[in-house]
Amino acid sequence: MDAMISRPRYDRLSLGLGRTHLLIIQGSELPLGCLASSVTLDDFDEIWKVVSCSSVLPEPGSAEKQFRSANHLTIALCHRLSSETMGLRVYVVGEESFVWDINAQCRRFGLGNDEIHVFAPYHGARRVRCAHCRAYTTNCQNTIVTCDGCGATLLVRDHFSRFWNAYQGFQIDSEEPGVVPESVAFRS
Amino acid sequence: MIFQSELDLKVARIDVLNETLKRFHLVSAGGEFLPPAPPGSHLTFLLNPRDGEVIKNSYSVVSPTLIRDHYEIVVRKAADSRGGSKFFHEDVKEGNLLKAKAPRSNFSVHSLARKSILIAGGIGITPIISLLDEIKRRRCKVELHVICGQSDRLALEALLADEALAGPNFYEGRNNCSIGKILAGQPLGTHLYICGPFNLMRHVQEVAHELGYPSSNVHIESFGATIGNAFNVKVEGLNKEISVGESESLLETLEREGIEAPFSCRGGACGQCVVRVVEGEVDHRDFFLSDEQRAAGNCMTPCVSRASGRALTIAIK
Repeated sequence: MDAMISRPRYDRLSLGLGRTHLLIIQGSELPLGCLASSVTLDDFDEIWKVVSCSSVLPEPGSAEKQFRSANHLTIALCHRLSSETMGLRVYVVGEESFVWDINAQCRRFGLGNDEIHVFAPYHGARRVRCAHCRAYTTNCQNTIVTCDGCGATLLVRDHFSRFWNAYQGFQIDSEEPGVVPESVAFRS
Repeated sequence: MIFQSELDLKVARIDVLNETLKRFHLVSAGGEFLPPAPPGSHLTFLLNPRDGEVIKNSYSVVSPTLIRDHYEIVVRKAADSRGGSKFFHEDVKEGNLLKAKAPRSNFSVHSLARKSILIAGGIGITPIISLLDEIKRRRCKVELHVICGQSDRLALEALLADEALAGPNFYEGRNNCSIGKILAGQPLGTHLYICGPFNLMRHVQEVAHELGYPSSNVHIESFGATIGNAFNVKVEGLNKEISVGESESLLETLEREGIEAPFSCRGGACGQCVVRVVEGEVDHRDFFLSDEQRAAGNCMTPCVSRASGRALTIAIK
């Protein structure tokens, strides 16, 4: 692997100054150790959860909402952000690809760095973007993966792109044809 | 002439806008093109109102960025002028030469702003004017709110006449303008740009803070002069104690004493002049430092902030 390391660093979530605090959780429970010691769930005005369950029904007006999937939540979030006003703070907890997907949607509606806070407690598996065909390969566990789009064997660089919301993967022996480094498992 | 840090400018024309406002058209003394003045930029003039005394005053460039054959500035004659605006109004004539530092901007338009709210108090309209051109070019939504005295309204309306802006909102006096109403309910991605008297800027900043605007969305331009109690300052490493008078800033005193200190806006907005405070309490009057930095009390902006007590010890970076 190359020496350049450019991975996101996550700090435990603490409450910034804001009018409304919305916590988004991927899962039905908040994993331990996501919040700063001074923060509790009661400090959030609303909590939205992705519970990955088809029997979930919308609960209008409730401070805690459950969504059947990440897509379901994203659609509701975009609808909400389109009419939201200044003062909202969004906090996101989940897998790395999830939190940065939500981050990207928030930015699309004008939220800035001080208004979105993300925390990915587990980020062992990576989403990889092929530099050649631009396809995404998800749940990659090792430094060498096969591209889901073009079948190329990719070396996953230790560089996370916030723009593409993925790690960069490029042809394994592009620097020296035939030279293939050892595959190494990512650490969380 | 693009890379020149100091400019020799000739006053080509002076327009009298009203009893206290004059517009100066400045061209290069040598006839060359001038460096581009980016949106929100200011010129810092090195003025010699009296022999041997140099006053550094900053004024916003109100002419569009892309115009390079001249700059325009508007100067208000301050009732309590310490020399700068009085000098411009009473002594500067067409054809005179002036020295200024090349234009710099600490008040630029945020590239990701989805809506811009511009709030000007009186002559604070000048840096706002230079932003309008850029905001229109970006096709960003914009609201302009101008708070001024009755006597200035016509002149300020005339300054905005070229800006083809739908509905600038004029308020005659602070009491007729509710900052809370302006700022509440604005869409995500709204950025505020403020220039005007200290109390107005501080009020807008506080209301924005209460409504949940992040500080990175609040942009302030300040050229405020500072007056207050006299105090003494020790500069660490120089073994020297200097006295700051009631009507001068700490930065001006350092310059008078030949102590080199960095600066840009001279109004407490840009943070270029920040120095370390070794001992003593500070009366912070800037718009740059965060609440945490002020509470820590180990740095200050000498262009506007002063000692709370009678003495300070500082260290210049």
